Amino acid sequence: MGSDAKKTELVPGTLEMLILKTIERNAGPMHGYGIARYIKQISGDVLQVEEGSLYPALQRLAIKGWVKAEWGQSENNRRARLYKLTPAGRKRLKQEVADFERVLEAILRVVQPT
Amino acid sequence: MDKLSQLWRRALFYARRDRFDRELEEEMRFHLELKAEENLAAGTSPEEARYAAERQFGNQTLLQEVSRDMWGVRSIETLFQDLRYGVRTLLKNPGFTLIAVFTLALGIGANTAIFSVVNAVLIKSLPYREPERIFQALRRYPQGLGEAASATKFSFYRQHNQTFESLAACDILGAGVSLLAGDEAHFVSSLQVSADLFPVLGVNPLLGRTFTAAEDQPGGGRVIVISHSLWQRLFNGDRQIVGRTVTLGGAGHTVVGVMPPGFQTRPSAEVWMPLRAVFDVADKGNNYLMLGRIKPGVTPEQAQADLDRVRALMRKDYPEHIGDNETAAIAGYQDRLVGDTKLPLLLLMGAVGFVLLIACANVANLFLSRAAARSKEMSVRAALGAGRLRLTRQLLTESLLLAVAGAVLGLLLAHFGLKTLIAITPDSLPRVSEIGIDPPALLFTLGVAAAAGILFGLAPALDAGRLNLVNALREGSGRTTGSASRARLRSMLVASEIALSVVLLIGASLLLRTFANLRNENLGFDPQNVLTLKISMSDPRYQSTAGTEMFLRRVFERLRELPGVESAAYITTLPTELCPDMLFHIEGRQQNDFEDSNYKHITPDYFRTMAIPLRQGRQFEERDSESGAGVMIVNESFARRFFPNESPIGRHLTIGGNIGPDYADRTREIVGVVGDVREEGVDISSAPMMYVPLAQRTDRLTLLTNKLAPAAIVVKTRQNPLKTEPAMRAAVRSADAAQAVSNLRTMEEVLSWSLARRQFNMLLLSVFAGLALLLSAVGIYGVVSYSVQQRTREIGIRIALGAQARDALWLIIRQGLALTLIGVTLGLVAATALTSLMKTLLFGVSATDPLTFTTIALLLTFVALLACWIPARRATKVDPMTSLRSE
Repeated sequence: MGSDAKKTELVPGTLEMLILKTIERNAGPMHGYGIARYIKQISGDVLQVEEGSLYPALQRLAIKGWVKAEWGQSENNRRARLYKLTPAGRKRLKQEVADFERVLEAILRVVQPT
Repeated sequence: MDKLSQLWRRALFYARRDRFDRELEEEMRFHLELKAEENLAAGTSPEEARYAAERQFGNQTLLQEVSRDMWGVRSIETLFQDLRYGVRTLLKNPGFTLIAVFTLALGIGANTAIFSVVNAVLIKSLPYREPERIFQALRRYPQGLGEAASATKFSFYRQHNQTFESLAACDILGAGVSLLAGDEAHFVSSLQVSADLFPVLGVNPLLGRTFTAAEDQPGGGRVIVISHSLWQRLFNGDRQIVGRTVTLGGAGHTVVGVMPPGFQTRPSAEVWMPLRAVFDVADKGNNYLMLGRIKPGVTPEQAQADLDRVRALMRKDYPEHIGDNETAAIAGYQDRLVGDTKLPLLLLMGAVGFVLLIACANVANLFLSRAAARSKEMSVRAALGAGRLRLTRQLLTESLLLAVAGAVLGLLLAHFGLKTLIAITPDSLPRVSEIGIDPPALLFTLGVAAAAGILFGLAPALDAGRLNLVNALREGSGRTTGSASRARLRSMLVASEIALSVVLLIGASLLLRTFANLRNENLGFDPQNVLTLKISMSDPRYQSTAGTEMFLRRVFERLRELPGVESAAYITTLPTELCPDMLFHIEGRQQNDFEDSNYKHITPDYFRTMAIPLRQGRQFEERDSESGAGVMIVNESFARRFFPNESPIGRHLTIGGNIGPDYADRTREIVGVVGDVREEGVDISSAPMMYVPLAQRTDRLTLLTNKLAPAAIVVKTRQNPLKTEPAMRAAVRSADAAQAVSNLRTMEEVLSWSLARRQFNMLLLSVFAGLALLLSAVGIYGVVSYSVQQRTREIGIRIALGAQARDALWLIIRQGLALTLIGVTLGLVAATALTSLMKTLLFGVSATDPLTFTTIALLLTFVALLACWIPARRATKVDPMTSLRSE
């Protein structure tokens, strides 16, 4: 696996949340490449999702029943596997975001000078 | 719910995993294309764009595998892969596989067979309803437990207890009865039971009913319940049997019920009759077993306390019925039935466990020696990226495969082994009919096989895990010497095998010597050419002493007319069988001073027939008849115990005394003293015994005796008594056509029957010990011959440098000898600790008998040396030139 030193490491445990959030923001179902690109763009190139983590993570989400994969058309009319959020996934996302915000807030409180 | 749907998705995935692979590949391709397009848009050349995309993407195959792994089915696929590979590897080495499978099959098969016996006898619940609620009521004394109770006591306990749903009683020993079917008399076993016995056991009849309470009262009518097997055998399973009248002991009895197949009481019987116990203050004869079903929710402790309360109550009102030190005790019915078979069976279970351990050690050794040859394969696989865990797993899969194959073959062996086992199983072993390879036994086999597979697979697997890649590949020419740790492991395994064998062999020899001791034990009589037979005396004509005596006299006359018959006599029960005992009072001793002794009734020729020597006084004669003066003969133990410094001849005593009117007897004079006889069993030393002439037995006692046990007859012949068997049957029939003869056996058969269980244990343990010896000899042979093979070059050099053949021989033997001595020492230490467990099974030999220990140690050393010597001799034949050239 070619690892790129310049890439910023994701905060552990946030990849799944990012994927779920990305799919939720996008109106329709998304393919893997689209998800990776979207995360990269929105984060201003700070967050880079490696393919080596992306696809296993998508499988994990599928097993847990939070996303559902089906074949469809990509924006340029090619056959692609598209992922969409399930109601369970939506619920999970809400909870993960809430947890994350709570933790983030706590971390900020610790590191910020008063 | 969540877990369930996850599982469902995984299963779905597994079913479509090929499609998944294709789809994933497509998804990756799509991703790569988009990525390449992106790069292209950024201005690189198409080729470079694609290359960059691939580089950024990384190892596509790995990614695909990781994605698949998410679904957790890799382990299943790997398993199949391992299995396929394992089967192929095993088939490639048929010799190795065959030996390993067969060794395991022996170990596993022996375990399955013995477990089936243990399961049927000790573990499986009794075939009664809620057997855990059935308890036997016992008397507890400081000296131990007594199980017999009188009808009076039973009636009292039944009336006053509060914790038993019902309390029942039955005979200690069935009398047997002549049943007339067609015009032929059959001897069938019979048992008197109280009406409650069937509800206590919780079994309903197949046809008809069991006894009513009214039928269990005196004068309740002649009714019987018969067993399923008797119904099939004598009545062809005729469903109209219920209500029919059959002739039993010369009187018509109505069949009221047929019990279901497999139902048995203990003692077992084919015909059950009402017991009709009544409360009779005068009756103190302890002739019955008492058992009951406790009420739901009542603990055994509560039931015991309740019975003890009843005992105290009875002692207050009828002190002469309860002994001074007597308390009430109860014991689980199953425990009582299993009784003294428990220890030997557990011992055998332990022994087969040892055999399996030895088998495992052998197979582990085989694996280890093969591991040496396979180390190159393993290193190549490791070099290609197989993880340590993966290699270990592969090896474990192979060993489990072997174990399963061994288990299948073992089951087959167990199936046939069990048949033989049941054939040689003594009749006295309880629940033999329930022995078989059933689901629990199958489950046990599976468990044993899995445990064995892991056990013998673990050592080689761990060994493989320690693989040093570089060294293994460098050595790589298939002539590796094997790591030092592997050699150590092998040596340890062999030493443990030897130790285990030593323990088994010592155990078996101790039992063997016990058996020999019992065989050679002086019985006090000569069993040679003595035939025994049993005759049911239930016919109404024989219910008086005169009637019984007249019938026997007629039988003896006919028997004596047969050529070769020297004498014939009656005795209550045969030596080694259940022996009655009775209280007596010696005239001139303190009033109310009662002693207890065994006692039996005989006809005058008994001592002559059995060749029991007369020590003092005279034998019984014709004049000792009903009208003659009361006489008796005692044995030497009796004389020693009760007349230590005086002659018992001429002394008077009264037997029975205060037990009850059934036992009231006249005063008797001791007219003779005879030699001691091992009356209660070959392994039980002689106790005091009183002999009373049958002619002087009271009618009441004759009635009672005939109800409790069949009459035993002994016949002394000049040649093999079995030759005259048909003539004897005919002689009895000519004396009374309605009489059936049963249990026609030589006295020697009776004796070996009494030793049958010991013989069974001894035989099995010997077989297992022999197996252990064989397996460990093979084990040590394997290790030594392997080492000879490995050291051929070394030996070649030594010989080239001038070593003699003797030196080479010694070099190899020394190694085997060291192992053997370590193993034997360990074994002796272990045996010292373990044989103490079997102390109670031994007779005439101590559990740490030095002779046995030494002999076995020498035997094993000898066998081990022999096993070393064969391969070691090969070492001396090494041609230095060839061995050096074989580089």
